[in-house]
Amino acid sequence: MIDDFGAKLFLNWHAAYEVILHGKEYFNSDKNIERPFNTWQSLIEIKTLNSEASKEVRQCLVYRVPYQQRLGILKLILLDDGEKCREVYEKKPLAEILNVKVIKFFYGTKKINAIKERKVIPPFVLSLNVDGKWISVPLLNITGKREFKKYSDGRIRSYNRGVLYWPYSENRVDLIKRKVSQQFIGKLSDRYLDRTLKMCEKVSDDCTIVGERKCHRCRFGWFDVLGSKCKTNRIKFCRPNFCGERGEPACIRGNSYLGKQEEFGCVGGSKAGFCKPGLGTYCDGNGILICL
Amino acid sequence: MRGRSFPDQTGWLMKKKLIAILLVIFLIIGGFATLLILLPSQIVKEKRELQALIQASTTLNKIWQQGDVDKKWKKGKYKCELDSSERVGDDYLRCNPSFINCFLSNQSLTTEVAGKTYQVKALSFGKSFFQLIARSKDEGILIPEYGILVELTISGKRSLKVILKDYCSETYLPQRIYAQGAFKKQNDWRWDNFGQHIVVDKFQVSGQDISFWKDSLEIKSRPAVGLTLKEMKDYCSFRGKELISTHVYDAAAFHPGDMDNIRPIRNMRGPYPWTKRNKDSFLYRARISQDFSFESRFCEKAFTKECLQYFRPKGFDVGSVSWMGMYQILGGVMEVQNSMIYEEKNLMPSSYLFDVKSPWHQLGLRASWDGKDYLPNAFEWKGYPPDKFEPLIGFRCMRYISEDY
Repeated sequence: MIDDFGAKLFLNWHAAYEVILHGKEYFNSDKNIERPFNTWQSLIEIKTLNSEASKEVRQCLVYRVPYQQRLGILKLILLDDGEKCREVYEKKPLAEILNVKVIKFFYGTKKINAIKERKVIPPFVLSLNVDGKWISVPLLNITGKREFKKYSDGRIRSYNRGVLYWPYSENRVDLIKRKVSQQFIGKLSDRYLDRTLKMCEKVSDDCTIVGERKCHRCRFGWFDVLGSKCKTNRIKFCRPNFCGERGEPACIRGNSYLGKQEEFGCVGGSKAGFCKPGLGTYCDGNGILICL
Repeated sequence: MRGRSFPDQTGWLMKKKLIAILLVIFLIIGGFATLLILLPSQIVKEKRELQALIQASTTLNKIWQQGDVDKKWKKGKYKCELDSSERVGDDYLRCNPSFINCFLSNQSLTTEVAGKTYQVKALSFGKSFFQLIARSKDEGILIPEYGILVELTISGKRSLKVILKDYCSETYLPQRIYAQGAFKKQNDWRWDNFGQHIVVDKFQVSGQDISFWKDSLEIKSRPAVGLTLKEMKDYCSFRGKELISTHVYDAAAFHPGDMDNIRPIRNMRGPYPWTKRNKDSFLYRARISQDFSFESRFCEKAFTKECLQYFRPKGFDVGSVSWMGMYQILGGVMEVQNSMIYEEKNLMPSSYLFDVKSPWHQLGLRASWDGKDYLPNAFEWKGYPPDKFEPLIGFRCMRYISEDY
């Protein structure tokens, strides 16, 4: 039963691209899940693709914690639109394991040393120990942080760097005939001057992200602009980038080159930005340093 | 004493036979039951097939990223339509869709899971084993900026869709203070990229890159030339990038001198990417020395006009390289960049249109091109035009990246 559950989990979750740990306290602790006993707990939710790779699919792992003679149950559940993991404990599962006595979870984007289990959990691999038996599922599309160094090629850390996976299925892919609703933002005709350029990441002066981060959805990539006083992160727009031109954001020159701390942020005449010859930097009504 | 009577003997034999038959039946049933317990279920078999495909994708990714690691193509063991091996550097085969086609048509992928060997093959799309996939033209979740989609299968019924992203072509520009153009004691135009992360194309965009963009499968390893500036910018956009700007190009090309000091007070820099000392370079000696003698080995660093008598121009040539891994800097074809600081000076003329003594064979000196066509009045050569003009202008792209995107 454990092998079959593990196989079902593997087949369903290998192409997951987002992971939400609902029960963070249950992960990576080398301890059995024992409390709160006799209750259902939502452990982990993932987003993956359907078999045609055209739509998002959400699934949960939930667990009924054992109590005395009433042993635990681990369930894999498919969520319908709008459903939450904590609402579907009684739903018919895709797979389940009954009579669970001991269960431990391990997952991270870096290597984990499960000392008690004497096992090293690789990064991006969801590992469950169910009554002494291991289930391991690589989450192939989950990414970690990028590392920056000389000669590096910009690949983001993942299970298999530089590779994305669509689900193992019977469906063939024909990119030309495929019909999927529009996902990406930005057109080559967009301009800041026309207010059609799309902001994809807003950063406040204290470096917090305001609203949704969506630069990964820019069709033609993104670029930084000046506006926030944050020194380590910038406001971002989806391309096209016409920085330096009249009515467009100023190109970034930086503030370290001056040898003193030039103020960042939206300050007219700021030398942290530059424009084409004949234009100067100004702060517009949106708090973006532009060229006029 | 009397022995057993005849009827007793018969009964005993019958009992022995019955016991033997029952034993055989029991062994057969027991054997089947054991097999059933040990044999994997259908779903476990499917999982093992998927594991085998994932392993195969790791091997395929290695070939994609590293190219002809076993030198099989170079030794002529693969029969493929690729540019000749004498005319290209090894990087030609890295992140090259045509080479993946070549590899998959000449070699199978074999993997082992739980003691069983699996033969993995790629499903074909028409004549090739891949489809180009790019955010600029395809919709959906998990679409990369640019890459190829390959479908791997064992049984032929179900397949794992593997998207190999193109990261081979980029190199990271470290964060520090830089300067644009040739060194000036006064008014040196300086800038820095602290708080930003930039990657630039290692090589100029190739003819093959352009033919994939335009949906043809022509094999051209040398830099793409003959395009307008708008076409170049459109290609970079297709790749989720932008045409490299002059100040970023100079940052990548000029040797920064003291590598450990990332905030220098002055950006001392020489005109050649591979050395801090001008006088060490053959290009400097060619310009100032009356008895300079050209040697074919100079062509590795800068493919000038003289090199045409020794060699044919090479695609993905790694001779002319800068401190942070950008190639094809001096010599070869001319290169245009996006100029924002000095608007009209956007063209680096150093190429095999000019002989080794030409002042164009140095960093920071630029001519002008209006980008629209290749007529003589589209160019401003500052008094040093080529003897014979050819429309040999290449380009490369750059983009911004972050920790997460």
